[in-house]
Amino acid sequence: MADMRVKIGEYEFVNPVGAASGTFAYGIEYQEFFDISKIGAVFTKGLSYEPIIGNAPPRLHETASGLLNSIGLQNIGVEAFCAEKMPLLREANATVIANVFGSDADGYKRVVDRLEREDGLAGYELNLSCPNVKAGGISFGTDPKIVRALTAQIRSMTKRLVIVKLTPNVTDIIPIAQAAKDGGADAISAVNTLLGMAVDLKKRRPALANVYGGLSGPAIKPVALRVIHQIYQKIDLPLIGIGGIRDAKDALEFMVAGATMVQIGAQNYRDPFSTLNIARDMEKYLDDHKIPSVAEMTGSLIS
Amino acid sequence: MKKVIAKVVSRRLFDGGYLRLQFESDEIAHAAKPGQFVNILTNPSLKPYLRRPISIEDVDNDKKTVSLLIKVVGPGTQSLESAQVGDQLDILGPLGNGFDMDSLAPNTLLVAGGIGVAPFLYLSRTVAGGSKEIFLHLYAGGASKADLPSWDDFHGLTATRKAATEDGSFGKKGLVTDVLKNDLGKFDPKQTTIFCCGPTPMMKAVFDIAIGCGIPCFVSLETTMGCGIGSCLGCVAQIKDQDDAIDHLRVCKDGPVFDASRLTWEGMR
Repeated sequence: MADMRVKIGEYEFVNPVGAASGTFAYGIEYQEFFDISKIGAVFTKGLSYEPIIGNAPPRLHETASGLLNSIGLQNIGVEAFCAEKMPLLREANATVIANVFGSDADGYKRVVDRLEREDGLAGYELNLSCPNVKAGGISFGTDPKIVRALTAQIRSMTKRLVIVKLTPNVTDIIPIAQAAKDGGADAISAVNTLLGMAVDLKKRRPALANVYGGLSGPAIKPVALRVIHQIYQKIDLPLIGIGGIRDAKDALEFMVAGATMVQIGAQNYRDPFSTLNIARDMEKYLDDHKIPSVAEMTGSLIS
Repeated sequence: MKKVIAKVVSRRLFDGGYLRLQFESDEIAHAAKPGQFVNILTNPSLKPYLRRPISIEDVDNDKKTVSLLIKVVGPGTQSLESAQVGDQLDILGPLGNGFDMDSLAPNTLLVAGGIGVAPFLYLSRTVAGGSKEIFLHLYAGGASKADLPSWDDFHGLTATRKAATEDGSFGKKGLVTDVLKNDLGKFDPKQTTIFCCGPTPMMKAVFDIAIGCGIPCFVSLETTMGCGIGSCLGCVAQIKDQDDAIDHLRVCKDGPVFDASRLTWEGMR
C-alpha cells in the first residue's frame, strides 16, 4: 500500500486530492455521499464577509469538454459559514481550507480575521483570480505588487496555511507566482478558470447573463498543466494543480509536472464521488507500479 | 438521494421524437415524490459533458421501476435514445423537492406544455391513490397531437382532461392557455390551485392568468444544471423575497417547483 500522505509546510494531508472551491459547496453537503475526512482537503466555496447573491441567470453554458460559469461568487457569508457549516465540518473531521475573497484588501482581512476565531481550519486559499469580480474591472491576481501585499497581509494574521490561487488569465504567470512566494505564501494553487464566452446564435445574445464566464473541465487541462510546469521550474513553493482533472491518471500527470497536490473541480458535477475515487485509483496506480510514496511523483517529469 | 447504476427495463419511442425509458431502481422508486427529477450521466465519454436532469414521469413501486418521458433534442437526450433494454445508466436521484402536496386544492389544475406534462402523471397517480378528495383537471397543450404522447396514460386519473394543439390535430385548435382562460370561471379561486410545467413563455402566461383570477400558481422550472445536487449554484432562478429584495435560489435543490409569484422571470430560457 503506497503512502498517500503529502505535506505542505508543516501540515500533513491524508492524500493529495482536494475538492476545488466552488464545485463542492461548503464540503459538508457531500458527507451524505461519502466520509469527507477521507479526501486530502475540502476547499470551500469562496467566502466573503457579507453574503453575496451572485450574478443573474443564466449562469452556465456547456461547451465541448467543458463548462462556462458566471456564478458571481454567490455565498452565504463568513458568519453563516461559521455558524452553520463549521460545526458540522469539525464533527466530520474534514480537512478544511477556507477559500476567501473580498472586493478590496480589507475585505480579505475581515474574512480571515473572523475565521481565525474558528477551530478546525487547516488554512486559507486566497481567491485572487475569479474573473467574475468587477472590482475596478481587473482581478487582484494580475498585479504582482497587489498579490505580494495581500499575501503578506494575510500571512501576518495567521499561523495556518496560506495558499494563493492564481488566475491563468495573465501574460506571464511567473512574476505573480514569485509575488505570492515573496508575500509568504505556503503554496500556490493553479489554475482558476479561463475567461471565456459563448453566443446563443438563435437569439444573437451572449449565452451567459454576465457575458463572460470562467471555463473549466477537460478542455482546460493542457493549459493548467503548462502553468504548473512553468511555475515548478522557477518558483520553489509547493503547487496544487487544478484544471480538468477527471481521473487518477490526470491527477498523477499534474504531480509529475510539479504539483504536490491536486484539486478536482467540474468533475464533481459528473460524479460527486470523484475526489474519493481518484485518490483510491491513484493509490492503486502506485501499487501497480511499485511506487512506495505518492510524494515521489512530484516533479518527476523526465525532460 | 442516491447514486445508482440502474438497468433499462423498457424503452418506447413515440412519434414526434419522444422517448419513454423505464429503469429499475428500488431506492429511487421508493423515495421518489411527484415533481422530483433524476440526473443522468447520459454518456460516460465527454459528449455531452454534463449530466442531464430529467423529471420523473411515473413510478411503479411493485416492480421498483421509474419511468422517464424524454423529448429528444440534443446530445444528452440523443444518447439516452440510443440506450437499449439491459443497458445500465449512472443516475443520481431522486432530486429536488417536487410539488408541495399540501398545496393541492380541492380543484387542482395541471397545466402542461409539451414535454412539461411528464411529472403530472406520477402526481395524478399519487393523488388518485390517496385519501384526500381532490379533483384534478389536466390541461395539456402542444404544437400537434404528437406532443401529447402520454395523453392516454391519464385515463381514469383526472376528473377532467382537455387538450389543445396549435395545428388542431388533437383537442381544441389553439393554445392551452386560451382553453385554461375560458375555463377558469368555473372554479372557485379559494378552492383552486394551478400546477404548471412547460416552456417559460407558456408558464409566464399561465401565471398571468392565474394572478388575474387570484388563484395560486406553482411552476416547475427547467434550467441548465451543473451538478443537480445544490452545489454549483449554476441553475438558479431569480426570486423576490418578502421585502422585494432579489435573491437566487437553486432550481435543483430549492425547486424545481416554485410559487410563481416569487419569480422575477429574469434570465429564464
